[in-house]
Amino acid sequence: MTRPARRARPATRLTSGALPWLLPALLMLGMFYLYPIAEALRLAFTDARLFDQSTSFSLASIAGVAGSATLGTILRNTLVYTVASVLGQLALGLFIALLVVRAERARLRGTLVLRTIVLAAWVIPAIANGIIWQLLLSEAPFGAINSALRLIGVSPVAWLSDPANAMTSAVIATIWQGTAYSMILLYAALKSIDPVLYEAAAIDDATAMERFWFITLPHMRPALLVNAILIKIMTLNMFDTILSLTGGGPGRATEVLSLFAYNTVFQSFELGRGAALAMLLLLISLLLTAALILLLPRGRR
Amino acid sequence: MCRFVCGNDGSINVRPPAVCPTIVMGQGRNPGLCHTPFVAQHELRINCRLHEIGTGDLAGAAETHGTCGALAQVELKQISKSFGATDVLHEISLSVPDREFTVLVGPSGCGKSTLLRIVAGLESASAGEILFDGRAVNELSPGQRNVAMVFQNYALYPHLSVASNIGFGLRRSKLSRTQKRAAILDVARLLEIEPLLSRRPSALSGGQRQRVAMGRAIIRDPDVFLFDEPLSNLDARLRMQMRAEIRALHRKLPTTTLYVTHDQIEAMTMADRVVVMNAGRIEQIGTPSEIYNSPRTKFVAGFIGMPSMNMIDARLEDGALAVGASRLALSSNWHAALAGHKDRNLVLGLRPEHLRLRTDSTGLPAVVDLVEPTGSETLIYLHHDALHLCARAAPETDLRTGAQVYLDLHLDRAVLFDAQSGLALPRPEPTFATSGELA
Amino acid sequence: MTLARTSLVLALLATAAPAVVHAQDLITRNRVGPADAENALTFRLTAFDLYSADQATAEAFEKMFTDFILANPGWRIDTQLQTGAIAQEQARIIEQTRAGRGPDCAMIDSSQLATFKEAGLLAPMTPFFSQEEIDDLFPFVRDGVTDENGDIVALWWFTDLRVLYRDKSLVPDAPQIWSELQDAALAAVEQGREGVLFNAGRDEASAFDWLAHFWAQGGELVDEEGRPVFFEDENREKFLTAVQFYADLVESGAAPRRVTALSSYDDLLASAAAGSTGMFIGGNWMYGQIQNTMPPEQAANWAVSELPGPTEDARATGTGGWTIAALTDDPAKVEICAGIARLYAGPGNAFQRLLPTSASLYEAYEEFAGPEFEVFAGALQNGRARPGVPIYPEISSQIQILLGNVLSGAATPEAALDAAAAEVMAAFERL
Repeated sequence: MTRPARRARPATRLTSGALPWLLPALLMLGMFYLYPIAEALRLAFTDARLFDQSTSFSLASIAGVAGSATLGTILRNTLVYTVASVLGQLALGLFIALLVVRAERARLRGTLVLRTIVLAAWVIPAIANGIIWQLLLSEAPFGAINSALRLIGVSPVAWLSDPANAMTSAVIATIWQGTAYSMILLYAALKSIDPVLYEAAAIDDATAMERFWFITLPHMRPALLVNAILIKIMTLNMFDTILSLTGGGPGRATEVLSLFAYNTVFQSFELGRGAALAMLLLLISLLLTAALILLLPRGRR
Repeated sequence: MCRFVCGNDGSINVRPPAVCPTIVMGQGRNPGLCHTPFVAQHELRINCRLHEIGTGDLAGAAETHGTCGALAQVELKQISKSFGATDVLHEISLSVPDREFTVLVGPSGCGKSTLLRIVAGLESASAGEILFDGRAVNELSPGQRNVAMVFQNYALYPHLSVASNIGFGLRRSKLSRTQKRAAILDVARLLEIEPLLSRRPSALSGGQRQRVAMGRAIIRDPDVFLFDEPLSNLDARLRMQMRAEIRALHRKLPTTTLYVTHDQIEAMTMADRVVVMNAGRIEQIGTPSEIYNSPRTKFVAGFIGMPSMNMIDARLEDGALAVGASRLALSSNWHAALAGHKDRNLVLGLRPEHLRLRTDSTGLPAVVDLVEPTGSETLIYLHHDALHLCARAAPETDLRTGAQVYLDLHLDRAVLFDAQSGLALPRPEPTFATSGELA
Repeated sequence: MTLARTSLVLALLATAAPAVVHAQDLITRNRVGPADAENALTFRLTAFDLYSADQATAEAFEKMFTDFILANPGWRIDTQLQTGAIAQEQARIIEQTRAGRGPDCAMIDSSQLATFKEAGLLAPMTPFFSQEEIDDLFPFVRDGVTDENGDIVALWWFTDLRVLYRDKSLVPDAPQIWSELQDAALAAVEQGREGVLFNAGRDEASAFDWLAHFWAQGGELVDEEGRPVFFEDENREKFLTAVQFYADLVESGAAPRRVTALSSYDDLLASAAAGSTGMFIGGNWMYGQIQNTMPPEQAANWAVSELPGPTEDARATGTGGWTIAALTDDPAKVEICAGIARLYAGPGNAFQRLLPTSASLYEAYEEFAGPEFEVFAGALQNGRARPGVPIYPEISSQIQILLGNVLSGAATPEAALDAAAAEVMAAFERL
């Protein structure tokens, strides 16, 4: 019985000595992730301004943000924008991924080109993405999309100047860019489905819809949820596309929480309020993530 | 009371409500038992090839007789398949009689799985015709062919319960929910997986998954059953058990079956007929005993049987076989069969059980290399000059490596092959008089 | 000047494209002068001159900078581009300078100069300018760049103002009052054009361009203490009148509804170039752009005039421009910085036809001989700079939101003004 005891010792030493091994990672995380968050949290409890940091601690920023009449509009915009963008990116990403996988199964050429083209949208900076869509959606007589609509006999659409349409346009631009990311994740998940399952389904005379419903979708559930979490975070944090597309206008029609926080800091210079808004954004993001994680099948959480 | 209608395609249609009798079909070698135990209240087409057309009343009758049609359920006509420049199948023609259990066997890469997938409709043939019941099905999708297939890795739907997996094929049938449940239960009982119905496939053992996969196939009452190496993922013991169960199932539900395996034991034990394939061609079609005892080619002879048949280079000289320096006398009835093969290189094929060890010093001398007792028998590996042989001996045989023995070759059971073409030469009728060693 | 979005796109594309090899190896994407020079000065500039997407402009500035660096041997200028997000870029300069990582020399928007002065980050440049040069500055410019010690802390190298551009083939006579503008715009609409365009999207430009109409009536944004008063008493009337002026333009069809999506002078220029608009309210610098980008016969159609007012006598225009200032304590570097500023103020302005801030420069360069400079000079009489108060950015934001809401029909002018006033006062209380 001495042997097992002797063997156990190195293991014990390793466990008790885990901290030094983890320390560098913890330090890096602390410095580059936790510290900024803590700093933002600290600022949220001050009335700091960007150029005047002689601040005092107060709840004024948080109370002011919570009691602001504007916040309701902003949150409504954020909800519409985020839900529409996330659903759109998931649906379109899944659609393209299915298309690519099917094309590959049929041994068609050009799937690599298709994937590359879709990815190209993703590597474009968000600011440039906004500018591209602003040019496309321009309501000037020479605006690209409106000109095309006119050619097929559809009257031009007030894409950006009408408050309701402007939100739609922002969602379209966001979906267009984010779809690539979603497509790549879902494509990887699709590729991991055993193709024999589809053969079994073919033998069972399953329609395309049934194959999707009974094989693809259940298999994709974890990937879709993880994807939804990631896209949701990216979309909530997205302000650059909107900034360059509409600037949040007309009025406040497309001003979402992240853009509102940005404007509060960089246009009104109210650092404390901006930090409070950033904390609100973080809170919403965490709550939504938690809710989505609960939907994940056990063992994948 | 069970109303039945004989269709002019040879089917029996049983109309509900019906407590279905056992319908015994035909006579002769293969009297089929055309019975579906879970047939209950729905109209069912029983795939019996009754050639008498008409209506009848089965009330009270325990059985009814008909002629079992000679009509092939599956017929392949000159099927070729190539992937790009690679030809996988060369003009395969094969006729699978109705309700027969046919096993396609061959080494990996011989095209047997591709052939099965072509029958299923999962692959298209590059050339040739696939006929089901006389109708070309080349253009039909797998679902339209009414085949059922059991895959090597079972391909169960991982997110559906066992019950839903089995019932998947019923999702478009007009049965009520209760009827479907009853049908699923019938199948589950048949396969003895009733307690597993609510589980997910991931919670099942390999053998259980195997049964579920079969249940999913059975419930659809297919015209043809296709098995693609269904037992290769199981351990040896379970494989043996499942072999017997699949056979028993086929006896209960005789459906035309194509079964692909690389395992010659499965082929020998399960098949009504064995189709041996090699390099995209059919080498031989026959019953297991035909394949074993009368291989048509050297390949079949070597592939079927464990240990392999001994292959001995020989020449026919003056009515005797010259093997190395030895000469083996052939009985006279071989002479006629071998006329025209004089002075040609031949290969003498002898199964290990057709080499007998003698202790007296007559026969072919050989030295023992290795003794392998398996319990029920003992395999003796030996050599004569450069010739390596294997003999099957009684379990209690006690020999040492290096021992000198003498072999008695049962030439009347031998197969002679033309060395060049690899084809077996015609055999004479056995006379049982060539060897002094016969019991 | 505001963000030139298309040039930003071009700049982004240009960075991806293989670098164009210029004749001068002295100038690269991030440096002017030999890489191994003993002295280095960091200079943060905008993307409109040396690194302009317009090749002619870039080449002209490359030549100026080459001459300059050859005249200052031993020096190298490490260039840093700032994007068009002015507020953010300027805030970044302040933050970096405080942390000791800022540029030695930087372009600072005149509207932000007050913030920099208050923060005490700017190095005195007085020793590097002659008294003559200082005296020659326009008074409002000299006030702007002088700190409380009487030192010159920046060179306001050009100014700008808002004017009305019109296509003479459609609008032969310059509208002098608002109603004339509307009539002329409607006439242009009848010719199948958009009548008049102006920025009314979410950008400082929209607020500042519009403020001319408020200021023309004598309106005041803040009182002498810097308290917002634009929503009170007679200022309220004037504010609402100016909003109604825009609203009427849109309602009557004289201006298209899409103005609420316009937030860049480049959009206006594009419409002018496409020949799809009759008039637009733009910056004076666009005159040069029109001459440079359009074919001569098309460019000749475009004339410039002072912004119309409610009456012929009540006129105003917003003035802005950029400064160059030193953020270093090293006098040698300050001197180089002043030299760069002089480069921009003189030959740089002459090439770009930007408005110099001292009278003598107009005489010194023949580029300023054109009739448009008479118009600009005249309009500058009624020039108004942004109020140098900390609440201005918030007022500007609220005006942008208000214009969007009113012109898109989401709010009435009165309600929008009340909402803007509430937001501005709440922000003011927090200052």
